[in-house]
Amino acid sequence: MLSSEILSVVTFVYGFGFLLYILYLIFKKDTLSTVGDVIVSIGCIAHFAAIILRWVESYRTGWGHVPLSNFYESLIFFSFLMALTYLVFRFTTKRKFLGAFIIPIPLLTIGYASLSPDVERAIRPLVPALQSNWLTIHVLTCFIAYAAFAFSFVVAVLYLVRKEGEKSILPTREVLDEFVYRGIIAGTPLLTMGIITGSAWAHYAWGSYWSWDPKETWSLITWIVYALFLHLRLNGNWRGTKSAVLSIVGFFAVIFTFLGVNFILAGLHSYM
Amino acid sequence: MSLKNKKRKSSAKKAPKKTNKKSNDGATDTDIVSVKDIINYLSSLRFFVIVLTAIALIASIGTVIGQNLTEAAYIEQYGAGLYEKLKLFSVTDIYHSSYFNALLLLLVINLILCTIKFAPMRLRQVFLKKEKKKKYPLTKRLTSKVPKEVGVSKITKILITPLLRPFQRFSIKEDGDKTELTTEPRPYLVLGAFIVHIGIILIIIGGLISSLFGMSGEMTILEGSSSNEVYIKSGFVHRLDFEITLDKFTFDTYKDGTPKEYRSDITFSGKENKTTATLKVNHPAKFEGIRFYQTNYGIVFDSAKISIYSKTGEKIYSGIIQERMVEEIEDREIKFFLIGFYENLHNQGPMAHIAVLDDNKKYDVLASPDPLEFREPIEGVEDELRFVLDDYNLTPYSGISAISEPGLPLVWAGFILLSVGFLFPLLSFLGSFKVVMTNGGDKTGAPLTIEVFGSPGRIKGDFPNKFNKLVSEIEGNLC
Repeated sequence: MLSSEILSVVTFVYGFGFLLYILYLIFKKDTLSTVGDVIVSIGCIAHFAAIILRWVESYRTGWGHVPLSNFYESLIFFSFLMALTYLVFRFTTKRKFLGAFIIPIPLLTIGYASLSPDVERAIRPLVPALQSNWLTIHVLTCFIAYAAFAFSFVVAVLYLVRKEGEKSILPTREVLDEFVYRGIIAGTPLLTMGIITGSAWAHYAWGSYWSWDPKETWSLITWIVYALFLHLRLNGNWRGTKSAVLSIVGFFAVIFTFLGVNFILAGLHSYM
Repeated sequence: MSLKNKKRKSSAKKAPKKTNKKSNDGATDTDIVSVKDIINYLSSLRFFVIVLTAIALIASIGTVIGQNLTEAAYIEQYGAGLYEKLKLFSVTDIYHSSYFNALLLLLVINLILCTIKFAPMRLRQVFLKKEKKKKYPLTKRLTSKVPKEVGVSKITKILITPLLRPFQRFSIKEDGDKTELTTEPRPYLVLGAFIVHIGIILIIIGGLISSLFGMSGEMTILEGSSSNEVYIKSGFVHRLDFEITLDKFTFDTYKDGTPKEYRSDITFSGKENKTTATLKVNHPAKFEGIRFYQTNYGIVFDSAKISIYSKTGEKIYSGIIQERMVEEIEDREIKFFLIGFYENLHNQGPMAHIAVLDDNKKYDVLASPDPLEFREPIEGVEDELRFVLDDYNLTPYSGISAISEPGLPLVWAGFILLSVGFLFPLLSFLGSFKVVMTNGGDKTGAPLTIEVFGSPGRIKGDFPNKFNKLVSEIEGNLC
């Protein structure tokens, strides 16, 4: 399929972008970062085009559905969102430090999805439970939230690495701390929407909002971690290291919800 | 300030004096203080953190240890000793355990008390006209040669983003030579947490109402038959006031074999009206306040056509039999009945398990569709009879969930409030800006002085960039 071939090329484009960001960190030449941004932007546009093309291809095969319905498609979509999150951050804040730290996430995700023999890349028809418009809104909201949390996670790690007072390419710890918060305050409403749309969909499909399926339960646990983060930050004044550590814990919960549950625990979401 | 320090400080500040003075209703002040302390603790952040953490931990245990499995499955996995312990602490049905429900109840109490505690303050912030004096940590002073009227017009355009108008309050104040333009998040945005808490409370109350006054159970209806029996999980059978007939069940697959559709065409027959509906996954139907969902399906054996041949190959019986229906072969004292039917027994194809009674002895026979010459005769039975399965009939059934949820509107209202409430803090990202323009009064002789003020609200980190961007834009347009 042409879309899969484009996505394989996009992997190398992100790889090249990542290399330029690393060189920027070493030589501190702005041109390297700018060229990296151009390369990643081209990769991101091609990535988006490939997702649209896969959608078109699904109609050609006769199944016709949004490419958000299996593990491969969710990895491809998540990696696209991560690259897009970086570009949005880069162009809205004009800060150059993040590329080398965040681009490895879409690079590894799309690389695994495109090259691993364990990932099924063929377009498959939707089973009856997935034949719903709720699928699109549920997956969209959840994955945008995951991307926001991944962003916070990367910045939280940088916060812990950054030493106050030392000259660094990284912003001050205070700024990093606020970026961690910003990612979480953007991700939590989206995760809430994701859980609500999933719950409404389950009610519509099976007549039950909540069945304590492992995926549902872990998404609730993830939501609880971020709800605690917000409460402790806004009312308990948890900032800095505590806040960064809690953000990292939250992202581990996200990873377990997305991947751990699929590979370790069985349930209603086993097809994802 | 840490949570611990904050708590200590607030309790030191608020700790009332404890006396044993009696009040009019007989309660002492000590009693009242104790109740206040309990309420304060139940509505505290510390209590919220403890309860929510406990809920997360217990919920995670339920994902690792299988829930509501059979006793045999637990014993195989954990051994009898550990299974007894798991059962004792309700770990095998952890989400319905008393301690998990108690934690949910404590969470609701915390949310309700918190909402009551903070609601007056938040509502005052929104509805009282009295303006709170805002502190602007960022300031910049500029000068311009353009007339003030032009400046006001240009800065108004810079400050107002049409898309954000519903969430931003913009005002212009004139005071002599001074004109003050301010933009800030609308006051109602402080109600985000309040709305989220009410949303969660509504969802929990809606769920509680549905579980107390609603009904949820399963129906199994064979194609062509009717039923009004709903099997509730507790074992109780609820009889509906109307009947449901399964007119047709269809199971369709894609060309690669993946399931495409489970479809039940049904008829609701009430006392006064009769209506047809189609049930599919993601396509429920509603009748007389009860919703019906397609949940599972299957096929059951209905009847088999059996032929019996004598040793010489003469057909001595042919007929349609059903399970446990005793048949007799004419002119011979031999009786038989169908014990069971297997669609594909040991990969040998369909088989009918038949019991033959001859001379008070019972023989087991497996009848298959194989040609007569391949059938083994039953030794011991008169005339060494041979049984052949000519045909069989399977009937599909549909598994339908029947659910009545009186709390549903509250749950949906809760969902909406939760989604809306969470967006409010996002919109508070905008920050507050004030631009003061004064005619004259500047040492450089420029006719207009522009002072720009910025306040980030709760998100501070990157606000200086935003502030500098605004200043640059004003400079570019006016200076």
